[in-house]
Amino acid sequence: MKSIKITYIILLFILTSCAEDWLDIKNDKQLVVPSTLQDLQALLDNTEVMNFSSTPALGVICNTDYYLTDQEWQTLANPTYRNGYIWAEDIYQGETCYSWNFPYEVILYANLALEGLNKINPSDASQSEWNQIKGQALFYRSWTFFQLAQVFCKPYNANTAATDLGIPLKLHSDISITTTRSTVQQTYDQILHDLQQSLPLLPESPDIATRPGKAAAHALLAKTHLQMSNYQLALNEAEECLKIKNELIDYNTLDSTANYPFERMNSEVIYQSTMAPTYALLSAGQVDSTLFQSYQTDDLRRVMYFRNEENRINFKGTYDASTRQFSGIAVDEVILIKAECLARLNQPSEAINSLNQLLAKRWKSNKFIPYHTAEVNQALNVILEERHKSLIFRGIRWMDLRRLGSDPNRAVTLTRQLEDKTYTLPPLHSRYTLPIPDEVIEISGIQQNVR
Amino acid sequence: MKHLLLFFNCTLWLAITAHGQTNTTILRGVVTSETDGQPLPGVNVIIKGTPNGVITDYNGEYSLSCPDQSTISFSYIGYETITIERNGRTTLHIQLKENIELLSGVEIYSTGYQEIPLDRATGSFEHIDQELIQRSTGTDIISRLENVTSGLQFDKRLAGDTYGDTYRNLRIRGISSIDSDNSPLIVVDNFPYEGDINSINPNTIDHITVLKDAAAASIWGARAANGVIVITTKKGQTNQPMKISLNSNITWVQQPDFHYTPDFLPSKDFIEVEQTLFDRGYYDSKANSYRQYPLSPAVELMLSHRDGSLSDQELDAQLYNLSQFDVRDQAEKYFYRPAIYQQYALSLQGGTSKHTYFIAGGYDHNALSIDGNNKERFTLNVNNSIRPIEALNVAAAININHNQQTSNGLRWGNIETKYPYNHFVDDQGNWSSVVNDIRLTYAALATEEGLLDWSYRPMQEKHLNDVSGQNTEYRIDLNTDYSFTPELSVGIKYQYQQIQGTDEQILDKDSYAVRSRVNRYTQADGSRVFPYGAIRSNEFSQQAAQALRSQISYNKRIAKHRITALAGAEARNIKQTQQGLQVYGYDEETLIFSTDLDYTTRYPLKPAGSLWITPPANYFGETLDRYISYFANTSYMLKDTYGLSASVRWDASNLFGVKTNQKGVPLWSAGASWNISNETFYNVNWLPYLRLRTTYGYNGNINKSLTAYPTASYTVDNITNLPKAILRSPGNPQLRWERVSMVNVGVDFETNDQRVAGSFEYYDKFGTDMIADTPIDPTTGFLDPYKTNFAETRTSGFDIQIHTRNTINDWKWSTDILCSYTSNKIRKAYPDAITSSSLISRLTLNTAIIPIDGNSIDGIYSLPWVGLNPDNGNPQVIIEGQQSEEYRDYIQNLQLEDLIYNGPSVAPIFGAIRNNLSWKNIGISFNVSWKSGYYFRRSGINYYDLFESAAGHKEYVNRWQNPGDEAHTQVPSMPEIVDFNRDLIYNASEILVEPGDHIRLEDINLSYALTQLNTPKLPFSELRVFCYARNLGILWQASKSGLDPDYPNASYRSPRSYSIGLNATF
Repeated sequence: MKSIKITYIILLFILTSCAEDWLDIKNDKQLVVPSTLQDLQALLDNTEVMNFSSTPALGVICNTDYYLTDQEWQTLANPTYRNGYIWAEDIYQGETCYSWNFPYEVILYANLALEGLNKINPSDASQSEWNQIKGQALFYRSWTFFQLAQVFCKPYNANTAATDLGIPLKLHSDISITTTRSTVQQTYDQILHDLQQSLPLLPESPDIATRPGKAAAHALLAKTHLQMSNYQLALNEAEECLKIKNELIDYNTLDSTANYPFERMNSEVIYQSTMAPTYALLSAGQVDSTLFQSYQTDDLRRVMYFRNEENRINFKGTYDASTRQFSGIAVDEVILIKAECLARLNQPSEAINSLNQLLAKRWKSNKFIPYHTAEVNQALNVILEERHKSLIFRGIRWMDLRRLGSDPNRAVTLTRQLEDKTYTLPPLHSRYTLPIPDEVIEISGIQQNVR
Repeated sequence: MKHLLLFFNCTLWLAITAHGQTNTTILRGVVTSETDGQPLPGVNVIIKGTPNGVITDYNGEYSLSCPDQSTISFSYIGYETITIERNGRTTLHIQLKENIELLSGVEIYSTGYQEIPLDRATGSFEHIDQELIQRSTGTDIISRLENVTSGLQFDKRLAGDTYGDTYRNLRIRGISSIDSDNSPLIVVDNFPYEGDINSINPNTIDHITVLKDAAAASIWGARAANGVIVITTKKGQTNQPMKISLNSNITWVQQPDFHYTPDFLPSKDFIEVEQTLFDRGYYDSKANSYRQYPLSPAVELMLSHRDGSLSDQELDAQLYNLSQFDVRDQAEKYFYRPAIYQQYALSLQGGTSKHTYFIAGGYDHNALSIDGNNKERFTLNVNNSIRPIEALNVAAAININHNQQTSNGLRWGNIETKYPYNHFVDDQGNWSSVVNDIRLTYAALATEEGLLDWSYRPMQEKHLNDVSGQNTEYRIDLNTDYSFTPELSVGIKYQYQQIQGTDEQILDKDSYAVRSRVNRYTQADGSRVFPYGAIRSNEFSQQAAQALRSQISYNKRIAKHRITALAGAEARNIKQTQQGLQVYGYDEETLIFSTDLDYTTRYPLKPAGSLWITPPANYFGETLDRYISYFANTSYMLKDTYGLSASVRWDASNLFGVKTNQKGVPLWSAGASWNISNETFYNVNWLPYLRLRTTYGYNGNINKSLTAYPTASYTVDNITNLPKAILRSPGNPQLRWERVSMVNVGVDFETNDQRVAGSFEYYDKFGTDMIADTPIDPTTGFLDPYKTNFAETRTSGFDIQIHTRNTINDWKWSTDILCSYTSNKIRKAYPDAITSSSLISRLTLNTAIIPIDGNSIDGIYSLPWVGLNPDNGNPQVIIEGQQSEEYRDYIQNLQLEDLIYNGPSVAPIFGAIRNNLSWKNIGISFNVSWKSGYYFRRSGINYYDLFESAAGHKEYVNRWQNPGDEAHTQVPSMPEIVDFNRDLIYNASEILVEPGDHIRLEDINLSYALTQLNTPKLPFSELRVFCYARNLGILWQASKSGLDPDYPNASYRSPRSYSIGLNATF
């Protein structure tokens, strides 16, 4: 009987002592607490978050490259589409703002990866993987900050940037940290700083275009400097990028009858990304007819970019081969940045040469008559027009409208006709800066943009 | 033995008035306990073979007038019954021997850890005995508890097409959690049951105890906040001769009646709608599209007529022909049948003083109401216990359940019941084809173009879909009890449970699903990139649960003191694995399948568009749940009058991540009871039994979906083919168990002639740390609903139970009345967590929660209704005090304050009255239930759904058509342009909210019993034959909608069922 008692006590003891280890096991094998380099890379490889529907779509929504009839506008379900179309004061009417939420989800993933890296002491063997992940995470974050700044901040103006309200610069994943707004200067400084840091860490060319490489970082630096009117710096970065990747698709090799003539991650794509959903809007409406008519018959962009069926013209030229609009970086954009910067730096012939080099691949073989001009303003006008026509529905036109607003010669006033009313958006108007979503203001109490 | 005990139970309720008989004299005596010599009050002293007897008083004394030559039995809870011949004696002092073993035969409560006699419990228990379990029929055990268990509610709001017509959520004493599972813990033979409770054979259940309050359930700790249902299976009993029981019954269930649902517009009216839309050009864009959108047969006829290929007369004739069909009749005729359930169970039990056994086998065959769906269940239970030495008892049990089912049938909703004139068999008896996802005119050309036949014939599909499933459960229990001394014993319990399940679906190569895919992916050159072969899908699941518990019990009675204590530890480990396998191009003859499909190329589709081939669904899953608990429980009784109880439990699991694990959660309860009627000062003669009890304590609840750390899950990115991680939760280091504190106050009473006995209990539960949606700034990057332990709730109510005995002469008549009230309220929540866009969608959902402080968790909300515009029949809304038809503006600016709170959607007041009458061998019992104080939302016409997806509603015929109609209808007119906001205004409005109050005749049981007692020549000891009818209908209801308030959104009313059966005992 004593032995039974003892056995029993031993049993109880064993049960107690091993309890903590025993409970230390993971509940669901599919779940991980991201902590290894492999986990962190897998977070960044979640293309559904990091690349697709990851940039704001408001720039396309508020742009006049498309139009809606009164009835089409009436039947739109989404208030953001309807209000954005006429640059209304209140855009969201309580509706979820994907143009804000999806980019900030990218930032959360990037921050989780960066924080995970801080906890890992890489061995010699894993140092280069560690570097690459860090470079990628920094790029994803800068890229997204850049995209947000083009929609939710005033256009960059060196004189006022130190006081203009920037975007919330989330640099930590902790969800309990309250959101505050930075200044425009801080926002751009952060972007430039992170990109500079990422450059030595990134590989020349990534395995796949959903991951950034050095070319993407250079291109984003070029885009950022262009917004800041630092044309020399922008030119340098564009040239650095083109040294790594400068392949252009010859549109003559594409099938214009295809549903989507461009493949996803085609040879021209430096960095793959698409914007928040716009399909319901763009398929309800049509492409602006003046814009469409500006493509000449032998310009292959006319047939590759547009579906002209049942008397409706819709855009099909997305580099994503889907209902999503491409918003990433492609070689054509970088060449156009180079051309513009050359022109602005008083090298009109070189600028036009760059442009011709691009357009030669966009027109039917042997039909393109190269531009010739040695006049800076003329060159710049041609380059900007072709830039508009080449990069439509990528969110880039909106950024251009914002920065060109301060150039009295090139500023445009946008107009809309709806239900016998005319709406206008003059250059530099405060409505070029979109409001921060209502729920963000409600919960965090940060300052709303003036409309 | 068993029927003897039953007999005693019955006699308890019978009058104890001793009749004058010949040679009848008074017998007196004292009953004491053998253990300590103390007098035992409340012992039943019964003249055997009669219903007559008395109960010993506080001093253990009794006096009984009985025949000189009679047999007297003395029985008392917790003691062995003694039966003794009087042999003319005038005094008979009896010493009763304490026997824990015997407890299972009398009214005791099993908590899964210990068995507590009725009058020592402080907490709130509910005992469901064998007789009540066997009163109804049915394949599963849980449904037999409905309307016979006080405080137990069946929430059937989701019953319907999606979840099945038998879907229910159980609630014990209402609910406390907002976001976590509110269903009670189910315990089978001492351990939480991890399988499908419906696989347990009800014939093997001995009794069920429902633990309702903190003290009763606290022993179950972190999972007990919702109450516990403790199911104990049958065991053999010591010194019992072999007993063989045979149970068999057959149930006929009425065929579903689809004429019930209001969401249906008869063919004639539907064609009228289509004609109107057709004339408006509504179908033109679809008809002209190269995408070949499906159009209804009536619209196709109208198109042919417009194009001149059909004359006016032909069109009218063909439309008339269509209007004669009713898809409801068609579906009932060709796809449904009355269900027939057969149940057979045979058991064998008995025991000697050293060995007991129980062996049972069961077979169920259910031919379900969907033609082609059948279920079978085989159960085998073997339970043995041996007592090699007096101090040691070893019991081993093996339970095997095997379920298999075929689900080849097609049901309402997925046999294209969309168009009311669809029919499945034509006048010549041929299988008709109906429109599916492609235009009929296009599908008809398929074979000419070298494609496979593209028609969809539901009758054919019935034979081309092979869905089967089976699961086998093994449960092995090992129990060892060893008594060091009569007071001190230890027990080790071990349970191993393994469930293996396989589900299989083979879509034949000629099924529509395959043919349609092959056709869609057929390339311009005629090549088939999607294989023309069967699609086979298998899912395998395995669950292995192990539980080990060791426990020390102490049981001592010293003079007036009785102490019971137990303490122990428990560990449980539940491992689940799943695996899914799917292949295309499967050949049943050779078992080969396609391996070389290209899932990365985007192929052009027929008739338009382009798409990748969806890769087959293959997956693995593995989860492991671990729990560790320590518990202690003690009770103290003084003079059998004053009772105290206390219980404490500490739980930890691997669910939340390490930090929280180490914290664990301590939960406790305390209780007291007072048998006032035992006091010397108590002299209320008409109420000889009166007892007060109260408890207070904390129980917990678990939400498995949340984690403390940021977690991600791995999958393969379908664009890059690289592994990708999806963030599942940003983590919440503060995450913890929900806690519910609960107060319970109860009174038990019994009148002097035992005509009325019952109890009244009041409870109040406060939920703290309840998990609820919390607003989160999307700038954090976390976009899914975020939940924290933030909210507070309060649930209070009472349960009344009354048993009356109204016996008149030969008529034995008893009545059981159950009445409960339960209300729940949100005390603190974040209404901001609801965005205005999700508000409107929550409004019309059946069970979506809108958390507003002060209102019920189950609240139904609606929009104010201001009537129809007399000019055009449009619904009106009020914007800034003005009547308006700007529905979109109204909805987008809707605030929580604008909503009308109608009340709860689950009845706060509910109960049942069960009358049992018997005369000689015939017994009849019927149960009437009621529910009150709640509301349901009926569906209304939705023109958007009618136009876009042909979803009709019978209200269409009552719609506003001409000015003046608004005086007698609230149904909006048919709009020129469809506007789903307009439909929402009506469908979410207050006029569609109906009171749910109703009284229902639940069931009737008619039985005829023969026993050896009254028919000695019988070859068996008891034979009972019975008829049982269930779901007999509503006797009264407040709503005039004609809908059953429990099934307002189902396609058909829960059908009636009729059973016949017999129980024989040898």
